[in-house]
Amino acid sequence: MFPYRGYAGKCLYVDLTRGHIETKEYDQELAENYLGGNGVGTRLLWENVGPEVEPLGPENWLIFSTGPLCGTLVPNPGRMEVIAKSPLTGIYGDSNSGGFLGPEFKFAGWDAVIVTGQSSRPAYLAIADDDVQLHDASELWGLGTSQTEAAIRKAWGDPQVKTAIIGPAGENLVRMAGIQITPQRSAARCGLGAVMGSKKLKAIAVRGHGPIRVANPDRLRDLSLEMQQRLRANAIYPAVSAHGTPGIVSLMNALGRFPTANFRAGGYEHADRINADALDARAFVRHVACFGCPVACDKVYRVPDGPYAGTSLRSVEYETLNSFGACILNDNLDGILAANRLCDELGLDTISAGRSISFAMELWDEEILNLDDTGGLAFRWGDMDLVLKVLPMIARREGFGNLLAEGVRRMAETIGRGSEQYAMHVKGMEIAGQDGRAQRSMGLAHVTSSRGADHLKAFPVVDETGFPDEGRRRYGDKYLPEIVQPLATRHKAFLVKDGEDFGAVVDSTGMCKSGGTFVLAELYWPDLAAALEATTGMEMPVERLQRIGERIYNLQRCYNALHGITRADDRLPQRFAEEPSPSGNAKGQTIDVEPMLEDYYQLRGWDLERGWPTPDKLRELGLPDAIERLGLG
Amino acid sequence: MHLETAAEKCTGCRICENFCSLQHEGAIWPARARIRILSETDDGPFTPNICRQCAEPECAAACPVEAIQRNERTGAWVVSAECIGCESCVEACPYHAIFFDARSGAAYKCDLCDGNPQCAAACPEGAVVLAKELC
Amino acid sequence: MKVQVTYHNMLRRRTRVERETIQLPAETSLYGALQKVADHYGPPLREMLFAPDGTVANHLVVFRNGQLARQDARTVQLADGDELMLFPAISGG
Repeated sequence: MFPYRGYAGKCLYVDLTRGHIETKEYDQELAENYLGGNGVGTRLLWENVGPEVEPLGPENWLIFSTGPLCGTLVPNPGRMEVIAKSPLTGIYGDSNSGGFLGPEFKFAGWDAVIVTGQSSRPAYLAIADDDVQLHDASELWGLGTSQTEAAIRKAWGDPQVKTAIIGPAGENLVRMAGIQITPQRSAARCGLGAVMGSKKLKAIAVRGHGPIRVANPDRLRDLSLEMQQRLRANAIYPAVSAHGTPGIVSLMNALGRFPTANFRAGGYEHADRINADALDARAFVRHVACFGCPVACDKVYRVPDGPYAGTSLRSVEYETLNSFGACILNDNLDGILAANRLCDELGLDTISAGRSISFAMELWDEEILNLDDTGGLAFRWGDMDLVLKVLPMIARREGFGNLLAEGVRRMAETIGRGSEQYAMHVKGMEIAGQDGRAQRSMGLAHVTSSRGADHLKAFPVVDETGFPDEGRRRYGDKYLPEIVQPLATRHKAFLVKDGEDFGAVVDSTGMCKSGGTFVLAELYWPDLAAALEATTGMEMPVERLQRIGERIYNLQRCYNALHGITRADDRLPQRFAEEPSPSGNAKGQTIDVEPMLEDYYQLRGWDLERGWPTPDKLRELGLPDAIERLGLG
Repeated sequence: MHLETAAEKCTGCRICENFCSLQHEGAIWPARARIRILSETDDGPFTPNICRQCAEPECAAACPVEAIQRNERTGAWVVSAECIGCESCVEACPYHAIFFDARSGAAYKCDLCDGNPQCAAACPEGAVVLAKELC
Repeated sequence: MKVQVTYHNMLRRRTRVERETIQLPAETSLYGALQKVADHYGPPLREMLFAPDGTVANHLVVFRNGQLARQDARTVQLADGDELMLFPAISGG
């Protein structure tokens, strides 16, 4: 019997080729060594999805994975992970989502759902506590995501059903397709919606009425209340709670960290038209929270008038204000909201979709693309009519949308003509709303992230503003002052490595990085260790937890190494080294990641030539099979 | 005592349901919470729904065996072991704030956690607060 | 001398003013300028600019002429025409 509390103790294995559903007990060793969430997902990919597997083929695994803290009491416990080999990058892929679906899996009695094979016809998986069935989804195929959710809820006669749904983008195998998660949140990055679409799985619908049992209820309750009080007393809390991620727009703009015109610049002259003040004044309806979260950073918005009057949505994030705002030189806030809503319906990652478009706009500006290439569409900066026309074309792979659907790396390969230098990606994933010239740690984070360019794996935030409190609270005085200075490079390798290890654990337990663990920099290793002990009954000294985080991250690197990733891939586009930023605090700055990368490899115990974990490191982490598999023995 | 709610402050986080159910069921079990967050949509507006501890409760009046009695110290109406599981109280309550547990065969409702309501202690927004009568 | 000050996010809610030009004696430090602003708007703003012990609040972010500036507020001498931007600390994506 699975010995730990907090977990449901069971996983669902769904083979769509045979239409076969199987229940398996949660593997105890997996839980002990990888916890859950993306940790367990990583191990399952490592063991079952080798380099020969096509991301959009039946042999890829699509793993929906919650963690032992998901659905419990510690703030902020609503998150879950989706893991698969990515069709965008061809390497390790995962995507994280808040909301209410993760906890619902747990209340239904499931820690994870592992989907393999391919259905011959559109299907959806219905989980009502322990009653699990595959249904025909032919009537749902082609529908937008919120229509699909409404139809499923109507068919069940239950408005509380929680769902994971793909839109037309996932159905059409768009490489930046995401998965929408109740309520209108997104597991957006890495194109995992296309993996779901390749399996012809339209949706997973869940309703759970059971309990999540914990090892030490009194201790967990006391810990949780104490953590909540700490969050609410935190200096960053008021602004994050009031504005959510849009609250950082003006500050990032001043730092020169607000990608503008496809990263030509890091600051936008009209940032004040698309910042939190503008957004709140224009469209704010109410504050809303994910499951169990006292920060309530999400907001409901509604456009009151104008051409997009009535557009109602939530989860308007900093990234989207950037990707459909500054990065395409658009100052029309209503247009951004309309694009955001449209991406939700189509099931598209707003970051990668926005970056494909900003790439096309720069190519247009540079006269590398013309009307013949684009099928008559003029990709002028800031044209929101064009954007709203093109997004459905991407989702349906129509006309030029078919090329945009491939992501910037493949677009550049197809277009040629010197377009490659404008393709802002690392390892095939489009760079999000950060600029390494303005914040050195982010530049490093982008190149070391295991899923391609991504800020969230390491999520270095203590040096976003340069004030010491956050750094001191987390790391003491040892690394001050540089660790909190955005333009410093000293100690950034440590900041990134520690962030990646801690983040791996946070993402494996079900907690949220936009809350206490990262953005508020309030909860750290000892807090997570205490929470895990009280919840699961596992003994969890801090050193063991740190080892788990390191193990997960190293295994992701090993998985990528199997797929040919080396140090040569750990680099930023040349623009960041060659074009000094014109913007704000980053004016005149370029970035060279190499010195930080060397420090990073040394800290990690990876060889300097290929940036692979060494045999000693792998033995230390209990990964001896990786030594042989990578040919290091 | 009774609980007062300020629906306009509620963000729909469900922390109240989680702490409530942990207190009473020993597990995080929103389906068994005594406080329930109601909403017509996922986006709100949200209404925390909780027993009003009525001065003259319909539930107690409907109970054929007088199983619902007032705790003199807290003022909470509490379901006792006399409950025969007829569900008359569930039907009678105009606020849908008393529930039936098919497993135990008894009704259950908010008992103010015997004077230290966990929902109020845990709510981050002040949307549920304990109000004490003066006398 | 004249110095332009822009208030962001929650600071703006307390000043009700987005941007203004303030008059300062020559050789005022950044610290002095913040004190003047805090005097003018009173406690709701003061608590966002200064810690109880009179040092510049750790959660205040200041840019002077586009560059991060708060680290050494007492030693930073402002000049006529300087532009200050004040933000309450926030981090995120």
